[in-house]
Amino acid sequence: MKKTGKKPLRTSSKSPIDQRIINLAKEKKISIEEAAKILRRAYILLEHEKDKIIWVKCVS
Amino acid sequence: MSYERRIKLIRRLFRVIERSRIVKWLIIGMFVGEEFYQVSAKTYDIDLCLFLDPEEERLEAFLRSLVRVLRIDPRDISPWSQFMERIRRGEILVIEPTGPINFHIDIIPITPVHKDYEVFRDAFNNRTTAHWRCIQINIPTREYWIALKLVGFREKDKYHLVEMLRLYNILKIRINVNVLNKVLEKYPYLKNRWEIILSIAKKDYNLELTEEGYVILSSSHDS
Repeated sequence: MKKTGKKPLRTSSKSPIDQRIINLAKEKKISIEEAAKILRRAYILLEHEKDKIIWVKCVS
Repeated sequence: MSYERRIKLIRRLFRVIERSRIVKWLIIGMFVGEEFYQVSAKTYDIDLCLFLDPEEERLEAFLRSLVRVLRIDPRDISPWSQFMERIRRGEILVIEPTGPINFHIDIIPITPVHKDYEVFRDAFNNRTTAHWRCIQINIPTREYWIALKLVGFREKDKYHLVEMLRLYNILKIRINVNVLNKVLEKYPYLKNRWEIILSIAKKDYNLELTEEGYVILSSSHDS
């Protein structure tokens, strides 16, 4: 069988990735990394709407 | 969220706290509710309160260690003096990890000018020690956890508290009403808010809190 080099999205219950991230990636046709980033940031915005915050990002 | 990644991130945070030997800290929020007090809600962050009343000598070393261990972008914390100044002013530090994870860390500096300083300080003074995956952590007691939820009192806090009562009814978990009442006597605005929560639980689910601290189905049915 020829390998395509592209890993399929893992959606089983054993998936290490939150199903919501996978679904968002599918819906918006973006990568898992990108979907995780926008979802995570949406939650931060919701949580800290009224707060004074110092928002820092990890690099790896 | 990636469960393993979340665990790894939390473990790193707790290890840094442990190694830095800071003393005045408390984990609050839904992480505590979910892990220790059987509150049925999923959380997307972990909240660490740091008490700056006054600031601990090791606080700055703790933060330096944390930014190193979590590999925080140096550009986000430069210049360091300005970053520390903002922390000292009480601004919340939000740490966003990278990768396929829907979770973040909130570090909340509690200074004496914080609007709810006294409740937070009381929660810290009456804290309990819990174990999370063999790591010892400071958390509020169940009653102070409720009080802190009442401090927030957003719609989701109300929802979490009512869900907690529903679950306590099924699980027959007891709230130490004497302790809770003592806390609420001290803060009348929180007492009013707790009464609102109890009235929602009664109206929507016919639940009531007994004097012994159990959540039971009410025998009287209001029409």
